[in-house]
Amino acid sequence: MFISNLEFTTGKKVTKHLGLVQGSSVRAKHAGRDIMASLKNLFGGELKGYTELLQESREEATQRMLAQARAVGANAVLNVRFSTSSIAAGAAEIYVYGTAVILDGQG
Amino acid sequence: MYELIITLVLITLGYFFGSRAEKKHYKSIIEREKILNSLPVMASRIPIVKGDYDQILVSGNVVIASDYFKGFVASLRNLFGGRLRTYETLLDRARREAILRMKEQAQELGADIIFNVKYETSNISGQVSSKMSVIEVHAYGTALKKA
Amino acid sequence: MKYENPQIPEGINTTKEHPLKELLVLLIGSLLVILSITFVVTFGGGWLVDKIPFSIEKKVSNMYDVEKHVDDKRAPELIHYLQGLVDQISEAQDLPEDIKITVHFINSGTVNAFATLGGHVFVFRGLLEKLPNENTLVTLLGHEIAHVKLRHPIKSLSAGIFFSILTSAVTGGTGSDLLGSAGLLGSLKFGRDMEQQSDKEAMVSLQGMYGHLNGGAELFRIFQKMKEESDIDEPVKMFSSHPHDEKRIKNFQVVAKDKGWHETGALTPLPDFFQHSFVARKVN
Repeated sequence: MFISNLEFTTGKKVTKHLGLVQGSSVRAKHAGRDIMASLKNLFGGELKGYTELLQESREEATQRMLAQARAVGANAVLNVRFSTSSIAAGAAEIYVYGTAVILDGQG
Repeated sequence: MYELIITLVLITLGYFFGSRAEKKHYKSIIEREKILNSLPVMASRIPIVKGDYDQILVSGNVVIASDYFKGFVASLRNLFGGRLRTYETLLDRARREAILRMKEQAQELGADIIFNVKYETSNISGQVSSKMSVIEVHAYGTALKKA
Repeated sequence: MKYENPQIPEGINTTKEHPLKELLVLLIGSLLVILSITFVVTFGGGWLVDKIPFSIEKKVSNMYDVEKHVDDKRAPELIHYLQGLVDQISEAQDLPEDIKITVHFINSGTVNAFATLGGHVFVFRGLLEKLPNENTLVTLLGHEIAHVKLRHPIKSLSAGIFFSILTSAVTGGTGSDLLGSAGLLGSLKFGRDMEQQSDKEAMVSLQGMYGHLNGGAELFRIFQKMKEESDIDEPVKMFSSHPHDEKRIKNFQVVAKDKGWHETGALTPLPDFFQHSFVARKVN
């Protein structure tokens, strides 16, 4: 599936717009990670566990958005935006949205 | 009394380890920025290059924590207001690191230029006490690769 | 189209100032703030607290179920006796009419006694067991009653709340246990001059009830002896905030000489049940 945060493509033409599609993923850091994080917190620096966690979470949200796009018969998502919000203690929501379109000459 | 001693120890440890980590991180950022300088990154929405290009969404993220010293200075600063100098470097490092990771991903894919770069910054401190802040910076954009 | 990728110089988004310098400036600043607040609270706060009627203090203390923490019901004889003394002392100290003292007994070996909000005075078994005569007991009760009379609990409470607000602002705590950390139910810490004022009132009670001060200084000698015998971990809480006992004894003598009060006189013995047990035996 073609995915881009531009609202057009450089080569192919958009033949049909199918509206907004979105994906979200709420994940909590588990206690073990939290303890490690608070230790790390004393000294500063990168929290690798969290970086990976949010990466996975973003991946999942994107897959969900693509699933929505596939369901409406689109073959590309354009103008994609991400947003992250801390919704509760120790939990973060990743939200991704974009416009589902059908591109010329795409599978 | 014990609490005071523990706090002092934490502040000292935080200062030494934190500033060492920061120096190391800056050194690595500057080095990698030089290496990746050949790959241009633009905030503009419309690509300045014309022709047949593949579009690929690339991204980089980093979660970075402040140390106890930074948190302590910031909480004191909160009483008086003003510039939180200790957090400036934290955010600066996180933003540049995220961009570098995005660039590294783009370079692996053989991209020529990255467009429409967006940043997201979020506080994910959560359960970790409010003395310490944990932030995530996520950078993403569209990489163009000659088809 | 032409494009170039120039290197951006460092240090535009960050401040080039040593963080330790900032820490120093901030520490000095907050120290000054704390000092000026202490100044305002000790001088201005005391004046303000005098304007709070005792009935409000009583209402605050009524939020807590005092009965649950004390053993008054198990020692009716003792409470009756103590309350009788307390009423006499209140008269000797010329307590304002709206202030009513209630004495409570706690069946614990801790050598301590304290006064808290709402005119509640708590005495522990551990301290009662060490008292040689009634005159010393009156000194102790007189001291605690004086705390209530001079509104010390509410004064230190308001200062305590203020400081816990300040510390929670600095440490970023939630402040949910503000009242708890200020020690509403526990023994409040009083300043040294508060203790000295109360000592003086205790002497007034002694003089009023017996016509002499004999037995008063004995209280401080008990504390002094306890301090010498005890390890740091011993639950001898009462001493930590109190002025040096030697100094208190001397102060006693100075005031006595000043007022022309006698330091000798007949001691009144404690009632018989002090020899046996404070707690009434269960009747089967």
